[in-house]
Amino acid sequence: MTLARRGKVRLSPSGNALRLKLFRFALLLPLVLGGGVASAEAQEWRDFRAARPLGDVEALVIELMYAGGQLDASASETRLLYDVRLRYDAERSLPRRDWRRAGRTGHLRLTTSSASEDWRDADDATRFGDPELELEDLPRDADVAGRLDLSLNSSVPTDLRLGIGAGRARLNLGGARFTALELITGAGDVEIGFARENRAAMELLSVKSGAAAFMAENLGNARFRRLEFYGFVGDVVLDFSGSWRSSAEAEIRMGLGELLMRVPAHIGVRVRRSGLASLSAANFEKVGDYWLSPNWETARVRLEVTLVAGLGSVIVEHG
Amino acid sequence: MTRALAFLACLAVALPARAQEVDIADAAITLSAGGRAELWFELESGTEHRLRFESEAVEVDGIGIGSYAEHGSLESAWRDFLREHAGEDASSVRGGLVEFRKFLEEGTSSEEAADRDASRALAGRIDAILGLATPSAAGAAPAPPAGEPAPEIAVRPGPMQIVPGGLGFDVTGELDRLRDALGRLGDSGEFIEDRLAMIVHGDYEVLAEATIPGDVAILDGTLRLAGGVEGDILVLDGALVLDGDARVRGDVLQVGGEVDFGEGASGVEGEILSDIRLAPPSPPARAATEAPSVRRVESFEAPIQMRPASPGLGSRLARNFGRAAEGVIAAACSFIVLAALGLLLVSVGRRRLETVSDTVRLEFARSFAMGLAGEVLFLPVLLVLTVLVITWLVIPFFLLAAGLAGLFGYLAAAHAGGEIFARRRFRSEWLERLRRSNSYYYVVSGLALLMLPFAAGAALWVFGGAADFVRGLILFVAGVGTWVVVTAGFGGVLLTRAGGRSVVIDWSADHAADPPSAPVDDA
Repeated sequence: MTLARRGKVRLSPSGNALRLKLFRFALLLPLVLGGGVASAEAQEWRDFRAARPLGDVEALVIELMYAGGQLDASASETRLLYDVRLRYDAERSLPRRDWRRAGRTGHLRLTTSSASEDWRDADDATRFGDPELELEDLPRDADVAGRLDLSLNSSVPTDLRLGIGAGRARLNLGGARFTALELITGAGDVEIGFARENRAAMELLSVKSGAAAFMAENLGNARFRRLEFYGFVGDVVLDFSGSWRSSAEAEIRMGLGELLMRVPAHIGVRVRRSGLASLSAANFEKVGDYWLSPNWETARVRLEVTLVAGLGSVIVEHG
Repeated sequence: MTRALAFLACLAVALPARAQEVDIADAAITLSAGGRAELWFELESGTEHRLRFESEAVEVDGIGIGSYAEHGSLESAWRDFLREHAGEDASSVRGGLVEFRKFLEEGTSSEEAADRDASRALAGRIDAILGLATPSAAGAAPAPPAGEPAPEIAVRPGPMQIVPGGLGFDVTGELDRLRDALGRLGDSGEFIEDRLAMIVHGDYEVLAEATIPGDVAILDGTLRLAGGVEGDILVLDGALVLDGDARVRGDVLQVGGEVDFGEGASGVEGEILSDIRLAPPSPPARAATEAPSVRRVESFEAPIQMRPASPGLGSRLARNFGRAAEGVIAAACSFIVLAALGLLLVSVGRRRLETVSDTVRLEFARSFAMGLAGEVLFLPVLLVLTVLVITWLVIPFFLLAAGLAGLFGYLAAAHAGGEIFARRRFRSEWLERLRRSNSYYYVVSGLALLMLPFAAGAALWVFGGAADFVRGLILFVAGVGTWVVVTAGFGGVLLTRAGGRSVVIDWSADHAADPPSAPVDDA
């Protein structure tokens, strides 16, 4: 059962709610940025690992809240359901791992919390499986020297929720079996890529980016049905290359920054734009409120984009 | 926490994979009046061991492995063995220990449960220490019937046997470590009391056909697991090696040591959790840190002088004169600007200026106190104006008024100073010529007096660093003096309401009947 099917992920937040979110983003961003800077204090580096054999688990929900550092995620075909390896500074943060099962669905929650707070007190069962990740949920006290490697089994349907406070993240998610992916980043440099096709149709691909350079490559391989991208500040590249199987829709909301969308030529694109940002879409035809690619009417696979951009520029490269 | 927890523990199975008999190099026996009966010996490899019976507890190398019945068969046999071999050489002691080991095997049939369990455990430890091969696992299997061929001596032990409780292990420290480790991994700690089946001290092997019906804690040594574990395995130190067919129904928890999953990770049904402290990074290489202080001669060319070139006398003098001129000009410019303001003030508000000036001159202490109070109250008043939102519009006017009052007071104080200067009689004719008696002169001369120390301090730059102290002292005195003058002038402005009323008592007039506190308001 995916997050979207359970109705825990709102697919289309209202405009007011979004504005409120962006406002909260603006308020909380300094906290995340401020907490994301590591200082050279006494350090105690530790290696944490949590792995679990496949067993009889048929679906997996992972919630991973990472304060920051370097994060690599990938899919593998080992006998392990998941394999999380974390290098952290025990003077700054502590990992907390929860594992629960509901029938044949496993829930893994891994957080890195500040060492100053007692993680036992932070054990709030009601937070397991929160409907939405918000910026204030992101852990702080990132240490740029830390790193996290996440390996997921490519044969088990997985819902992944990933919160990254600060730092660099490289998510090579191709070849996995994601049914939903929710990503929220505070500040940093984030790249996600689907070098191989996702093995399952993804109901929702949701990204909330605070102040970050964000790049997504081969999104066409993600097999998403709906993409939600909320960017506050930063430069964003959304590359929709890949082996598209079906049409999809995307809701993209940008606060301030540049957005570059690269869409393969065989995909029909229709963009509905609002906001103050400029839109550059070569060869697109404006029909009413929409900008249509030349092959919109004839394309077998279509991408319908709702674009709300505050300040900055949006470039759509088609072909 | 109880010091002696009853564990479902067993050390009986564990034997090295390849037993090899070893000899004893040295030995010592202690039979104390207090009841201690101890054998200490050193193997040829240099390893020391200590077997002790005391207070109904059997210890091997300081670790309790069981208890014995007082005056029971086990204690009697041990004491007999020690008495017989006291003072004998090491080889004799070894032979006696082997004989005692045989007794232990027979002693497992003792009616005393404690003796029986302790005998099993002690036999296993002696086997492990001396590398003795056992005819059966810890002597648990019955002896073959007479006449039948002796069974083949197994190098490896048979299936694991769990000896039911009653063994008085003193593992307080280990339990604390276990709890700490489990807490770090988020375990509730139930691991310890309820399910622990084996504590590993040393090297052990669990064969493929064996199964440990509970949890295992590896404190040191190596546990090679080819069989099964029904519970969790916790690795604190030492090593865990999982063979291909190893089966672990629970989790593998690692907080230290090493775990070699080989290809056996698939046999772990639970989670693999580890939290290992990394070795602290080694300090930077000494050569790297101290490299800057190490000098190498790579050529015999003339060394390059890195010291900045020393300026000559002429350039130093020019620089000093420049600084002095700069300071004097700055003081002169300030004087000119202030004098212009003062002259303007005299021309448009002479009466008010003179009122304030007279107040400062004649009531200096009072003016200074008032000015000081005004300065102290300045920030609180500003804070109040800021907090009361409705007064925000007043703030600019307040700041402007305070600034103008300070400037006005300064000029009035300069006026007072000039007047004091003008009323003095000088012996020098040249100075006498300078004396005038009007407000314009008072203001200008007063400002000149106030600016003079600044100009003098700046002029001392001519002497360069040699006059640093004197220059600093003069500038300090000038700064303090200026503050005093401004404060007194500010106080005078406050006292006279910007010169609107006179508070000066004219003692020369005959106004004895008038109350001295009654000011004359000539506004």
